[in-house]
Amino acid sequence: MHLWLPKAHPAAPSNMSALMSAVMIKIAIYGLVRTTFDFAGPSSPDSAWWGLLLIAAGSASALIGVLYAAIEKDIKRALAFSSIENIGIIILGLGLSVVFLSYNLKSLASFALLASMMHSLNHAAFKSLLFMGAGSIIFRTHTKNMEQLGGLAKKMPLTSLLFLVGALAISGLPPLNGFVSEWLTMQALLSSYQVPNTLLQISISFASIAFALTAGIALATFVKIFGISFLSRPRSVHAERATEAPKSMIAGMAVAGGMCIIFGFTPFLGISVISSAFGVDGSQFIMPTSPFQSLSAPQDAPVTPASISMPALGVMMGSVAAAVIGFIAFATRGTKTVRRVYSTWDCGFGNLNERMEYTPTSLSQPIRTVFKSLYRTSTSIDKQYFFGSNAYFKKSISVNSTSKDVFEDLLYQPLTGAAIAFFDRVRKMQTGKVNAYLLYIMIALLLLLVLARLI
Amino acid sequence: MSETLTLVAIGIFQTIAIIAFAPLLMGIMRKVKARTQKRLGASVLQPYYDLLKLLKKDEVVSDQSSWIFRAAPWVMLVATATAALFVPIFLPFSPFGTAGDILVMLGLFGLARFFIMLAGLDVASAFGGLGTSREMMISALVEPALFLTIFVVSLTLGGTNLSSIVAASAGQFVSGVLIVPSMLFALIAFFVVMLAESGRIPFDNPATHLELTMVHEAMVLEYSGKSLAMIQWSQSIKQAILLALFVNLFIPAGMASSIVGIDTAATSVVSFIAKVLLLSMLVAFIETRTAKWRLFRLPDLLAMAIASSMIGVLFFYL
Repeated sequence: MHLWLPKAHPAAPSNMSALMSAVMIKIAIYGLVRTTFDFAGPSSPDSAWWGLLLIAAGSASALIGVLYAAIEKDIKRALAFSSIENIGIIILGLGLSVVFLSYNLKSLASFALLASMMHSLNHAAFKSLLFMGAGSIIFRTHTKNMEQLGGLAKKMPLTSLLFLVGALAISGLPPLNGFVSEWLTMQALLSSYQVPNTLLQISISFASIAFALTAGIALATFVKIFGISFLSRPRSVHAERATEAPKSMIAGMAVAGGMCIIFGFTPFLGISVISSAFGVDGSQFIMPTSPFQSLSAPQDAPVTPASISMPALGVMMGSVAAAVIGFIAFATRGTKTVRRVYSTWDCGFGNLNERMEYTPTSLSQPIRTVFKSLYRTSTSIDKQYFFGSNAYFKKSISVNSTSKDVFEDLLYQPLTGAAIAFFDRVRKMQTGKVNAYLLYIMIALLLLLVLARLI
Repeated sequence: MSETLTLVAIGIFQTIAIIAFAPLLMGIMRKVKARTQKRLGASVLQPYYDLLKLLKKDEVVSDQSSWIFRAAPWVMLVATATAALFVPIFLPFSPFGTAGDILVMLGLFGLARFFIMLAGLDVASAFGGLGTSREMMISALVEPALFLTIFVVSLTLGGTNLSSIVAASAGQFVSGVLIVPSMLFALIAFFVVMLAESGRIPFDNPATHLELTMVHEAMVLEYSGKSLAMIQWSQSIKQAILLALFVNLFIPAGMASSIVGIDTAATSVVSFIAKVLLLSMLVAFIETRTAKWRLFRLPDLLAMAIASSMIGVLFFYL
């Protein structure tokens, strides 16, 4: 539910974008949490509608945000749309928390709130990393259009590694921090069976479809953003001449990247910060009190709670990696294999160039086709011919494809339109004549007197 | 303490078994497919010969590729093998259940897929981009189907801890509950998802290099030698994991509902092997009987899977 964010981010300098995403848009979340839990204090089933409203708004915002991020070719606009998606996930967790609290499921409510707040914290870490990475790209290539990037992994190895950490984290992949908060949100969704209201249970399971679709498309989106910007051939001279970002920029990204890794392996740190901020009573739900203890969702008695332990997962992945490396070395012992560098297979035609590889627009074409009723893309093909009589020899073909913003067209445009139309009518009252105003005052007085009499 | 150690040892043994026998399963599926198509087919051990040959071969890498291309097979194999540690296979028990649940397993598959999609883009050929682009769409739509299936399973069997849900499934079978309607709908959805995730026929043809039909093969087209061996192996491990999960969650017949003695364990192992073989034959048979679907018809199939598991949710609640 946005309007300004994708327009503001590309205009702001990248370091400011990082702060905007990490801190500024969380202020609204802070306000929501304060009003919802401090002032409103949901405690009876009557207030569940408010939670459901938050869940609906959150999942719509997440899904539509990520769908627009998937087709965007401006790197900063894509990241801005992805911020909308993540805020949607945060709101979804908040809404779940309100619903649980309405039915007096206190431990689940604090669990869902924890999921939501963890996601805010993690989003601050990986989104500022990604915006700083985008800033480094823009600094070295002078473009934020992904159609002109490519091949930067070889030119900017450190930036690419750090950007990859951010991309993995935001896609919710283990063992980084995005996975922890997505896991918590998923568990909160899966625990919705404890709400004693069938209608709510079913609505929440619809929200979980939206959430899972969001996660799936987010992964595709970040494959696209990373793959197009950093991999394959450079698509323009600027990208070809790029060099590694200055050390100060790398250092800034490394701090944020380190946060992603630390909060990923030891979610305990983030959880303890959050629970002390909220004054959560640790005994209310299963809270890890030491770094190695596993996280788990509060469940009814017969259900074995599912749990994860990120440090253990890290150790397991490490040992499996060691075993795999050892095994491959063992299996290939005694044979000398050579790694030959040769050009990419070109079907024997030769001269593969950067115009033949996939562009951001073509990469997201299947997604655009599947969700075309949302995007309402309009494609116009403009052909120029050498001879008017012969339609086979074309001088140039240009394709122009645009898509519409569903929130702008269907929500805000009608609302602002109606408001302006209404106040245009109201303005007719303002004639500028003093006697007309005196008449208004008298009518108002009469109405008030009548009202006072009636009451 | 010694009991924990035994359990961990059993778990590691299960994992090694599934990693070692995954190529055999692939070979059996290929054999069944060949026989149903009236071909003789290669030996069931052919995948092992392929792996051994590939491991000893020289490698050619594209001059356009970066470190991502070289790292991707390792990440893929490590992530898939770690996922195998979490899955209960012969016994209704996963020793690392406290470290991760079914969602962690999916996350690890996602990690493998992320890297292989990047590797497809890395080589700067149109084929790689084509594969990645199609995989982006399919994987994005598989995700909600799979999550909703897990939703149904966790509602019906309680939780997402793999040990406890597999045990609950086996326990239901022992206590005589043969068919739970919500699980039946989840089964349909999971079967579709399993075909999509392991790249079988209505989604992707594992045996072709035709540009019109390939998804997964397009992404790994540039790989050779050791890297290709690792990718093929992790694909077969992933397929074996999905088959094992399907069998243990939805067809619990013969599975011991708790770890008791050596004789019930033997029954579990034998019945597990029989069930997996039957299921893989079914998948191979379906591959013979159906054609690869057009790419933009696949969302319909996945939407059907989502709808089916949503019906499962409704059945559970109403």
